[in-house]
Amino acid sequence: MLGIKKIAAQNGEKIAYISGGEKITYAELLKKAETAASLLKKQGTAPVVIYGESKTEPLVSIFACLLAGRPYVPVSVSTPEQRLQKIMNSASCSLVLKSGETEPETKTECLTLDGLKKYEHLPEESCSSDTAYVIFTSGSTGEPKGVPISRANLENFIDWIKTVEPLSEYENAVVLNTASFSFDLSVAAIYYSFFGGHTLVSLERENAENCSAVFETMLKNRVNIAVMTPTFARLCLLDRDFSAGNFPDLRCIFFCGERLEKATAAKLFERFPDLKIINAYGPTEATCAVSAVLITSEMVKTEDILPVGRPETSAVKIEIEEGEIILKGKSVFSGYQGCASENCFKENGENCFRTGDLGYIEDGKIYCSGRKDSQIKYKGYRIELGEIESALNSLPGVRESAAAAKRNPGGSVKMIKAFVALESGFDKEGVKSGLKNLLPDYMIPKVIEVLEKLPVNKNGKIDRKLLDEL
Amino acid sequence: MINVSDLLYEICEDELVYEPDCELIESGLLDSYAMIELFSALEDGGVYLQPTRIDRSLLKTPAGIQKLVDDYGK
Repeated sequence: MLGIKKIAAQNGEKIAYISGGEKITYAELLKKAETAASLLKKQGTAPVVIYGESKTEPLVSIFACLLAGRPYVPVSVSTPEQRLQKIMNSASCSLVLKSGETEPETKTECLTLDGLKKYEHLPEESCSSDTAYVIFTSGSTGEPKGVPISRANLENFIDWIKTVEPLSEYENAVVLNTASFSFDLSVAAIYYSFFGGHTLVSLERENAENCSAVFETMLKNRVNIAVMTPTFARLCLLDRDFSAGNFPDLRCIFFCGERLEKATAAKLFERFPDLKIINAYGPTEATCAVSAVLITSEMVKTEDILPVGRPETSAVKIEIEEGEIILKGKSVFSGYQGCASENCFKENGENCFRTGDLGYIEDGKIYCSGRKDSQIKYKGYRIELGEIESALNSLPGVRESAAAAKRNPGGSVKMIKAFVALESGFDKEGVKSGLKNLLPDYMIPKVIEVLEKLPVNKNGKIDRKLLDEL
Repeated sequence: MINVSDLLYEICEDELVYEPDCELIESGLLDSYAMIELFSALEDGGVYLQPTRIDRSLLKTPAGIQKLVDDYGK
């Protein structure tokens, strides 16, 4: 099962993880995780929230949960109290394992790894959940949606990512994780690095958008492989110092989470002529990524949009039905936490998922061309505009509302904009501060425009096309 | 002569950016996306600000960014 102990034994004194100035070897990681796992088994059997990303503790907590057989639920410290409570209720969490200074506002027991010692005297309970972790994404009904990923899904993902070219060729590499643990892009970095016997380096969250700090981390640790979103790469590329001459150790970037635009890939090839660029695709429901393709400079010149993989992988089979990408196979989850969805179905005993992504297959490659619904990708996070509208409508003084995504010419979202009609005596500042209590930072519309009333089309529905243009 | 507030308004669509001391980062107006657009637009206008070599505290307000632009090449 997963083989955590075997990998840790094989890599013993090698550094497994570096974060916040702290380093931990594979042997130390296993020892700490085993100790915490034994205490976790005494504390209970329910899922565990992993809160905060300070130093090496969160990774120890993740492996402790896996060893203890308790699902982990990674939650960002920027999650507002009400949303955190909804997540904990939905996943029935009985413990928060925190790291760092920030204390979550919750009545659920909240401990550090050290704090688990209070359960030393209790007997171990048997916990053997099939679920490895639950990541919460935006839900169109207004509630965050829990995506449980089973141990079998995760095992399959690990087997798949080890085969992705050229990731399979690297040995003793240093892998940079740029994402928060609550964002499933980190799943690729964590498990590729650990099960490949590499060293994982995480950015400190407060410095994640500061180029100087990012570059310093990359140079200091001689990062070879970076796992990031295309937006993150664009941020790095703003600085002309981000080039092969200054980053001679950087060999590969693994992209996932949003569309990689040709202009970004072209600029990377210009600055790093020998860089291997991997463009990967997959929703949270299929364990982060299910297909990937090595992008060549030829593709940048000849393709209309860059491909995201090939239809047959060891992770899943990818099919297109009426223009929509359908995933079938071992990496696909079996359904949302506590709510049925017609997008999840079984075929010949296998889990299948209608992604809502529009795509096509050409010359044996998969292309993803957009969405069939109002879900958007912003900063790599997927966001249901319906969840933003639901939060807006719950605020006092809001008569009606709509959220819209403004896009740049390349098609990616550049900002979320909200339109509201308000009762007298209410203003947009009140709306914005109200949203901060309900939604994580990345979901809060940058611009809130107050209208007398929202425009409607001839069917009497909100005219979203018109709003997209405003 | 680049007017930073006009540029910020095009990017952020919020009149707050016309207040010289408006807190751009704390208010969420200048997030990573807006930063990419701002730096790219400045570069198109002939001002290349190198993110790792500027005083980041000046990015917090329109007045600070205007100073970076005005001092460019001096």
